[in-house]
Amino acid sequence: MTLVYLLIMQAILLPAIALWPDLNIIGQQLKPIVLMAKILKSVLFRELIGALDQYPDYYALQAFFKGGNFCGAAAAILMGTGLVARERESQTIEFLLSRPVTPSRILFAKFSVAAIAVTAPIYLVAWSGVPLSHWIVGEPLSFSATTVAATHCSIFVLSILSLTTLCSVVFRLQAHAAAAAGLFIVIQCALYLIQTARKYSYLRVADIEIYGPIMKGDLHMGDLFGSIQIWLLLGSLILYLIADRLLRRIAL
Amino acid sequence: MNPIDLTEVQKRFGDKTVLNGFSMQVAPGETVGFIGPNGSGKTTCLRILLGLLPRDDGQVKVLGMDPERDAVRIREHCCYLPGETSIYHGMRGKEFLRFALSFYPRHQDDIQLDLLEHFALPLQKKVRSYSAGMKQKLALMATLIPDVELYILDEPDRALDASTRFFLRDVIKKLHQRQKTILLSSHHLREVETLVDRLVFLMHGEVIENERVATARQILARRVCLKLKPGAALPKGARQVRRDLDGTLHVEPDGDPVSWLSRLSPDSLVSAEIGMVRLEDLYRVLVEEAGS
Repeated sequence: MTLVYLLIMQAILLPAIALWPDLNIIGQQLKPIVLMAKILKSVLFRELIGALDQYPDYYALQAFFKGGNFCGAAAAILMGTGLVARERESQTIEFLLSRPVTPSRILFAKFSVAAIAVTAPIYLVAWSGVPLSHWIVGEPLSFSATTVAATHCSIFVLSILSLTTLCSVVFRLQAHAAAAAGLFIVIQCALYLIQTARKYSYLRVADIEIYGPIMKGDLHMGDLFGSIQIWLLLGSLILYLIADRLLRRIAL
Repeated sequence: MNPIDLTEVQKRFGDKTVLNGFSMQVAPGETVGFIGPNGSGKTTCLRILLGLLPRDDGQVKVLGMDPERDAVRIREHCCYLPGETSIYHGMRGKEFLRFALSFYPRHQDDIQLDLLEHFALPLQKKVRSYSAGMKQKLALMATLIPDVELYILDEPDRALDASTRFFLRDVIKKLHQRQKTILLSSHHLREVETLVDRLVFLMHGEVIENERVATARQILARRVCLKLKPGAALPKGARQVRRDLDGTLHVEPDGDPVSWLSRLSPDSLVSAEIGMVRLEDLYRVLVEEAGS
């Protein structure tokens, strides 16, 4: 499953890199529309069109906002919701909980594997874009900036994984857990697309305004854990601890 | 120290009381059959023993430890076969077995060989292709091979054919000879009786006293189950207790059942059996006794 997820992200990124010169020309042609968008105060539209202007912004949009955020969230929902709910569905939870290991250790083992499975492809695909960008379109990308952006994207996806893990403990069926987590994502997307409500969307913490400056080298690895990322990690930890506590009292 | 010691255990699910002051002791090396109809609280009791469910009241000690505090330490010395088939369908048989046995450091190699030979499971195949009986055999292997002090088996004979049940009986006897403590629940009264030291009857979350069970068994020992040919009538001197859907009559003769049965013409009889004690009949009698 992780391999499929990695291949999908790579398949999304590769044509995006290859299409860059053409899209850049289109972007130049769309400049009047950008100006008009400024008048209309459509921040999202302006940013998306503006992202076509500079390659690091464009790469951030393709690799992290479109690829990492959405594919990563989908993978986190698929993997996270199955961690406990699938065990209950297939009636293997009783077998697992009756072994000489604590529920906390079971959850930690499962969560760790899922966390590696959802974050490793983000790094691999993002790093693959560095030489690909150089060879295909001749645009240089900073390896360290790409790593920092991939780390931010991974933290965002980890927070989704923590949420879906909690859903997996709360709901008896994986489908119900996935529906709850999916509903959260859909609502966040809907909020994100409403300009006045956009600041309340969870996607705001991992959009082009965050990835763009990172890809330009404005944020270093050390800066990552002094701002929004620390809150994301803290939120993930709280969700995980709630899931852990609930698993200890799970009804068979 | 008794490996299992329950005193006045209470367990409720909402308004329903599942265990009502339930007490039971199992001595070291003892094999105890845990008998009760569906919903009598057997599985709940077994889950409390393993710390999978908290009790509402009472005292529980398993191997001298409290399951709510030392569940992991208890499970290191105890193997549990869940009542529901609890196997990963995506794994191959050998993968599941390796995974299940990896939790226990010591294994009983001779029992492993016996089980492998007798069960002859296609361990290379995925578990999802197994029949219900094959899954139960695999679950039994995962439970009986580890070398632990206590075995808790929830309906180990479920989905097994007669020959496998007899083989299982031999394996359990072998464990008994090794002074392992075994608590097993089952619906097959006759077969459980042959391999346990003692039976514990559970009904509505309470243990039924041995005297009551003995009385019920005496009543059943005098009962005659018979099938008559069409048009044949029952001789006088017997009370019809009930009639099954297949036409089997359950009657209680006033005097000696053999002499009463001899009054019946062989031409009018399809089959007859005296003193057949089935678990459902036993519980029916116990419920009737309680009602009267």
